[in-house]
Amino acid sequence: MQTKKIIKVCFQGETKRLRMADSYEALTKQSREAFAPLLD
Amino acid sequence: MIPLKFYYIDEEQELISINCQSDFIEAVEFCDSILKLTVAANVQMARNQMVRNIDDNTSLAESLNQSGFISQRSSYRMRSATSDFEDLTKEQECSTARVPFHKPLETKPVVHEMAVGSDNVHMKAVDMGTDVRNLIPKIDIATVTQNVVLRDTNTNTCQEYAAASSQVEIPTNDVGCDGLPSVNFANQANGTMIN
Repeated sequence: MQTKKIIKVCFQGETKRLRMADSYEALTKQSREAFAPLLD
Repeated sequence: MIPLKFYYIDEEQELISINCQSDFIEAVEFCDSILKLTVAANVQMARNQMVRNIDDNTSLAESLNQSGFISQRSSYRMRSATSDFEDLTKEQECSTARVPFHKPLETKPVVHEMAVGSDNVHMKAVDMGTDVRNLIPKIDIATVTQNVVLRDTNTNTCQEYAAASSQVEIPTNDVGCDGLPSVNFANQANGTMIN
């Protein structure tokens, strides 16, 4: 049984739980969407 | 668009950056279930961010521990873990139930050990008080005397008087409680002499 993996991404003191991305590009996209208010 | 760079700490406590797909695959294979990444512009900012996160998490853990939050969760786990114990068999339950927690009390006739006198009526004076050896005859014990004459006691006088001493100008045969016959008939309180 495969364990569900998650990614915790921290940016400027704020942490988000993201679903495990299957690629580096997907990880970047998810992180930009999660921290969009901070990146603007 | 700001470029995002990801960092994580490996098993040797070194700061590792993720810049491409192969780095990402390596990081995924490294972690067990949770991959903790930090987004920063460079290595120095990533390091500062991680140190700050560690301090924040430590202080947060201490605060939760002081407030009893963690202990409550731990006790909850302990309570739920008790259900993981094996059930006792019927024989084990019976043997456990027979364990005496208190030694059973022996029945003793405690009536004869009570510190009270007997119910018998003591008719003899020699049996009362501390004179248990019959050393003092009955007539001399306590206040019971036979030789006291009523007229000799202090509170009983034999003098007769015609009037009370507090009455004004009433001749009396005797005044006071001195026990001697009085010769004057005047009252000592009114100050007038009649005789």
